[in-house]
Amino acid sequence: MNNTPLSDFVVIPLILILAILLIFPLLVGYIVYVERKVLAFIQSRLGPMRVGPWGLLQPIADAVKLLTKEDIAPRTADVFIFKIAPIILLVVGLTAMAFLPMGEGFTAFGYDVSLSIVDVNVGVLALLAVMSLSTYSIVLGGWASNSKYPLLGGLRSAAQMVSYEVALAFTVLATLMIAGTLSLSGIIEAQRQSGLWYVFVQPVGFVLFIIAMVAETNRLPFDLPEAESELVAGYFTEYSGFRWSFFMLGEYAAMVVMSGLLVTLYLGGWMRPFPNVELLGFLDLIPGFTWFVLKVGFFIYFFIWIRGTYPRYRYDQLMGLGWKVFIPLAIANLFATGLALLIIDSVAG
Amino acid sequence: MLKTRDMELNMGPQHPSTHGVLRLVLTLDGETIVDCKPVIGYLHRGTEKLCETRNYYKNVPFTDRTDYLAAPNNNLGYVETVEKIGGYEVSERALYVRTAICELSRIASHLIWLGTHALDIGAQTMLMWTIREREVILDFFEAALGDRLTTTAFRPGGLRRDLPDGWVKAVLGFCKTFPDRVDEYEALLTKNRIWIDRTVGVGVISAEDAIDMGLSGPLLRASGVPYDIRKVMPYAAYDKVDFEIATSNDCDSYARYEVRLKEMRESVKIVEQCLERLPEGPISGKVPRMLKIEAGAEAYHVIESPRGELGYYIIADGSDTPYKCKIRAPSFVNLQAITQMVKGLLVADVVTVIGSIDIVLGDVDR
Amino acid sequence: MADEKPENGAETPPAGAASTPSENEAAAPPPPHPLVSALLARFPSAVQEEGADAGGDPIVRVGAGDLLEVLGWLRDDAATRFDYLADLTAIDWTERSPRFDVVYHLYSIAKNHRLTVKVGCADGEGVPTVSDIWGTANWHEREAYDLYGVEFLGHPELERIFLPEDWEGFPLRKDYPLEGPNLELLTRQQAAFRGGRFDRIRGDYEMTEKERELASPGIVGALWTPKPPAAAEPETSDESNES
Repeated sequence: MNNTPLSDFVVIPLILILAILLIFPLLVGYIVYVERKVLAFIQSRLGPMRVGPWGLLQPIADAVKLLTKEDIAPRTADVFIFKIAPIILLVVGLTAMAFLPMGEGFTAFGYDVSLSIVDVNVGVLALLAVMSLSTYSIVLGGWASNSKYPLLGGLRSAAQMVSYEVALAFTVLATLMIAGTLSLSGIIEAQRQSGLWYVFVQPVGFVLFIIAMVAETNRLPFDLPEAESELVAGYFTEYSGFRWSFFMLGEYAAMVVMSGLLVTLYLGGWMRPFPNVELLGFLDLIPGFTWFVLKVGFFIYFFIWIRGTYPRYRYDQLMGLGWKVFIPLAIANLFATGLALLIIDSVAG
Repeated sequence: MLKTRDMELNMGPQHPSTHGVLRLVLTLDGETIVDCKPVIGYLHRGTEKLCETRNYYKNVPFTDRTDYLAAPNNNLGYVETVEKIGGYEVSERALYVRTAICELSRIASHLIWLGTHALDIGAQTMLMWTIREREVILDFFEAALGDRLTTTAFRPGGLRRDLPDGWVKAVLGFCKTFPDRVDEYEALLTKNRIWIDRTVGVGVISAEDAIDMGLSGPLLRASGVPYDIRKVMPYAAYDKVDFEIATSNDCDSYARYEVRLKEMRESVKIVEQCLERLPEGPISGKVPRMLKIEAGAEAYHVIESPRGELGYYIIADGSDTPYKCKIRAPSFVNLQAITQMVKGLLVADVVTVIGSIDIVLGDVDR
Repeated sequence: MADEKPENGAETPPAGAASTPSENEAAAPPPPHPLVSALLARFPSAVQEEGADAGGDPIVRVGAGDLLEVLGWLRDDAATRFDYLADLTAIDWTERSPRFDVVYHLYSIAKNHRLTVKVGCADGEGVPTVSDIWGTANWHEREAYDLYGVEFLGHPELERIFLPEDWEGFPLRKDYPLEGPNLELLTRQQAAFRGGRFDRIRGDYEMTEKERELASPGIVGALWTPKPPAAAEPETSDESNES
C-alpha cells in the first residue's frame, strides 16, 4: 500500500472530483433526456425522436443551443447577485456529492482508493448543511431579478425548502439513532452488520424521507413556485441560456444528491442486496458502484414517475402538510424509534 | 400602525390558464381574493351583425366559430331555430345522425375540458391522454363532415351530405373502447388525494344562486338542479334514446368534474343507440334553395351544448337574411358567476374555477 | 313561396310588411295561452298579448312603467314561477316608434314553460333594469347597452362589455355600417402607408393629428359620413344573391 497523506487527501480526491465534474453535465443532460422519454411514454407519446436515433443526441443539441444563446441580464437587476445565484446552486449540489460513498474501496496501482471523496465522520450533518445552502441561491435569484413575481416565487420556494428540511432532519435523526454514527460509510457498515437495510427497520421514515425529498427539490407535486400555469413563473423567470442551464443542473444535482442520501441511509448504499448471505456471493461480481448507480437511478425514475402522475398542491396546502402533518409524524417516528431502542437495549442487556 | 391595502392584480389577457383571451382583474388581500372582475371582448367579432347580412345558409359557418370546441352543437342550435321559424321538416335519418354527431362533439369538448383543466392543476398527463381520444373523434368528423374543428355540420332541413361507408361501424368500435378510457381517467384523478384537495370546496355556488345567475349545463346540474334540455325539451332524436342526466349535490369543482365524466359515459350510450337504430332515407327534408321566411316569424330555441343552454333568437323579415340573430351563449352567462365563485379563495384557485366553468372565449365574446 | 305555415299559435302577418312587424291578429283571435290568461287576469291594463313565436311559446308586451312590477310578479307567483332569465336582448326597428324593443326570454325550471316579454323603448329613453330581479341580467343589459345603446336605468355598472370604453357608436343598430366607422383607413399601419412616413413600426413614432384621427377606431369623422335616413337601405339586404 503506497498511500500517503498526499495521495489520500489531495491526488485521489482531485482525480475523483475531475471525473465528477467532467461526467456530471453530460449525466444531467441524459437524466433530462430520460425524463422527457419517460414522461412521454406515460403520456402516450414518444418524446425526443429526431435528433439522433431515438433522440439520443437531444441533450447535446440542447446544450449547444443553451450555450449559444445571448446572455441577457435585466438592466435593473443587481448584476453581481444575478450572476452568482445559479452558480451557488450548482456548486452546492456538486459539493454535497463529495460526501456520498459511491462504492467500496478498491486498490489501483498499489493505492487504496475510496470512492467517497471526503469521508468525514459527520457526513450526514455535513451533507444536509451544504444542501441547505441552496436556499440562498433561490432567494438571491428571485431578489436579483428585481421584479415582483420572481421575488414572490423565490421566497415561496425558499420557505417550502426550509420547512421540508425540518421534516427531513427529524426523519434522518431516527435512522442515526439506530446506526449510532453520523458517518455515511459508517451507516452503510452498520446496515451490513445488522443484515437489514434500514428501509425495513424504518418504513415510516423511508416514506417521509421520500416525500420530503420531493418537496426539497421543488418537483411535482410540490412545484407550485415554479409552475407555469400559475401567476408567477418562479425565481428563474429572468434567466435564459447558460445561466438557466446552471439552475437546471443545480436542480438535478440536488435530485441526485438526495437520492444518494436516501439510498445510503435506507437502502444500504453501494452494498448488494443481502450482503451477509453467502449463497448470493456471486452478486459480488457486480461492483458496489453499479449497485449504487442502479439504486439512485431507480429513485430518479421515481421522481419522474410521480411528475407524470400527480397534480400539484396549492401553496398553502403544501405548507400546511409540511408543518402540520409531516413534522409531527417525523417527531413521532423519532420518539417511537427511541422508545424501541430503549426497550431492545434493556431486554438484551 | 401598519396599514394594509388591497392589491390589484391583472390576470391575462395573455395567460396560459385563462383558456383564451380573458382578462381578470383581481383585487387581493394578501393571497385571498376580495373581488374578481372579468373583462371580456377581446374576441368579439361582430358575429350577430354579420348574420344579419348573409342568408340563412351562409350563416351556419359563423356558428362554428363561436363555440369552436363543440361546433356541431352550435350548428344544430342554429339550423333548428331556422327550421322552427320556417316550419321546415327534418328527415328521420337526419335527426339520428345529428344526435350522434352532437353527442360525439360533446365527448370531444369534455375531453379537452378535462385535459386542460387537469393540466392547469398540474396533472400534465391527462392532456395527452384526452387528446389521444379526441383525435379519433376528430378523424370521424373529418370523414363525415369534411372538417375537424369548425364543422358546419348541418343545414336547415337536414344534413349536408350523407355518412361515408364504414363510418357507423368505426364509430361503434370507438364506442366500445371509450368507456375503458374514461375508467383510466378516473383511475388517475377521481380518488387522487391531491386532486380532491385542489377541487373539493373550490368554486362553490348554491342552487338558488345558480338559477338566479342563469347558469346552465354541468354547472347547474352539479349544484343539484336536474335541468338538462335534452330531457325537458327534447330536440333532434333525444326523445327516442335512453340516457340519464348526471347531477350532483356538492356544488363545487369536484362535483362538476364528476358530472362531466358521467356525461361522457352517457353520451357514448346515446351515440350507440342512435347509430344502431339509424334509419335509411333521405338526408334532408324538403327545403327550398332560397330560404325566404316570412316577416314576423321569430323563435327562441334552446339546445344543450356541452357548456350549457345555448339559445338562438332569430327574427325573420320576409327576405332570405334574418332580421336579427341573437346567440344566447352559455359561456357568457356562466362566466358572470365567477365573481361569486372565487370570493374568498386563493389566487391558485382561480385557475381551478375557470377550468371548471369550462368557458370558450369564442362563445363568450362572439 | 314554398315554406309551410308555422305551427299553431303564430299569426301570419302580411308578407313584405318589413317595417312594422308587430304581431297582428289576422283572423278571429285564438284563445289566449293559459299562461297569458293568468298574467292578463292580474295585470289587465299593463299587458297585451302579442301572439306566440314559432315554437308556440307566448309573447306579451308590457309598458316600461309596469315592467318591474310585472316581471317581479312573474318571478314570484306560484303559478308562473319564472325564476330563470334565459336571455335579454334588444331589437332595432329603425323606422318604428319607439325604436327599440327590449326582449326578455323567461323560463321556469319548476314548471317547464317559457314566456317572452317585450318592452318598447325610444332612442334616448331607457328601461328600468331587472338586475335586482335576476342577477344574470347584469351582463345581458351591459351587452344590450354596448351593442344597441339602450339605457338601463338603475343598473349598478352600465358600461360597455365587448367594445373598448371609448368606442363611439352602437354597432348592432341598423344604421351602423358593417365595415365599421372608418371605411378607408382602419389601422395605424394603413395610415402610415398612406402618408409614407415610415416603413417600420417604432414605439416612439409620433403620429400627426390627422393620422391619429384617421386611424383611431370608433371616431366617426374624417372619411365617413352616414347616408341621410331617407335614402337608407331597407333591412333586407341585396347581398344574399352575391357570393
